[in-house]
Amino acid sequence: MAYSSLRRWRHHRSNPQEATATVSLTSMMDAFTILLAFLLNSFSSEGQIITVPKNLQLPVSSSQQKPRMTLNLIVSTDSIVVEGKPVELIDNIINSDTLLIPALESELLIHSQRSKNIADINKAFEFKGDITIQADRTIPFKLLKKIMYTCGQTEFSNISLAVITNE
Amino acid sequence: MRHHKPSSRRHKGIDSPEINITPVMNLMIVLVPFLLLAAVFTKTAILNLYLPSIEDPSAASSGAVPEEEIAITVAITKNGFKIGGITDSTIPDILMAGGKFDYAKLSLQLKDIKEKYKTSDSIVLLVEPDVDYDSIVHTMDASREAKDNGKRISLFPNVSLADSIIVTEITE
Repeated sequence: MAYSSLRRWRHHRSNPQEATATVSLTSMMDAFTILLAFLLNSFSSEGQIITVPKNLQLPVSSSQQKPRMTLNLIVSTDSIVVEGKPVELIDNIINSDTLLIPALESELLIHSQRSKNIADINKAFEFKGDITIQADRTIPFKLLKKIMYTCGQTEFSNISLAVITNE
Repeated sequence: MRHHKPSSRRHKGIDSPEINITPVMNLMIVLVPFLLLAAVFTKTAILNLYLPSIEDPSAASSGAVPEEEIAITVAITKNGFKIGGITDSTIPDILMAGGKFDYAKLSLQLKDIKEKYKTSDSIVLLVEPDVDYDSIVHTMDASREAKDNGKRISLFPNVSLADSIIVTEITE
């Protein structure tokens, strides 16, 4: 009995057709399919309107409102950035006596003027003064106040604050 | 010497046909790391703020709160919250608990006020210059809605911010 089974085994080995061992991939396929479905779902359900820079920590809030496409103002711990363009350093303005930030004002005026020019030509487009402020959670209110005041003075009065939802 | 019954011999040629899933596996191996990299695990949202616009100077002077509604104010100071702006000013100040702002207590107090003034949905936060942004956002959350047995109750969704210089004018 033992001899015959050994002979059969040898017989199997000598046959190259049957020597190729196949790994059963079916269970791995299952796992990957589920993972793929989950990732595709989280990928497509929400287009990313706000991209948060690595050095910026947004505050956490219970708000559920979806972000809109607006002018993007980033206030990090060291600088103010409008639509990807650095405008002013925080150190230069944090202790100034005036509420207005001149560099930010001139930059925002360029953007409001551009939007108004578009609104003149294209009737479907309307300048509503929307702006989204992405500010680091550690900045003091006196800085936020200056930025909000400057936004208000340049007709960007519809201010939204970017936050991270906690659920 | 292998012997097959005639019935099993019939099936010998089509012995366990398998689908070649290797190309699909290759696709998965490429797609899964790519999607893992692109996946967003933190969801962003926005909080709306209402500022008086410069075309409307009357709104600017009154703090964008209509006359007929009461203007509830919450002052955020270094020591805690101070609710003001309503006529019966018997509400005690909410002091800090353990070095942190007591948002739960503030929310509870505002819930009581909301029950008295159901039509009002505006609130003004009066913030001291050195209060950080994180605390402001948490205070806004506490004034926008309260949690009651897991349900969310809307309190004062129209939140505006103001400078705390006004706080001395209003409450004293």
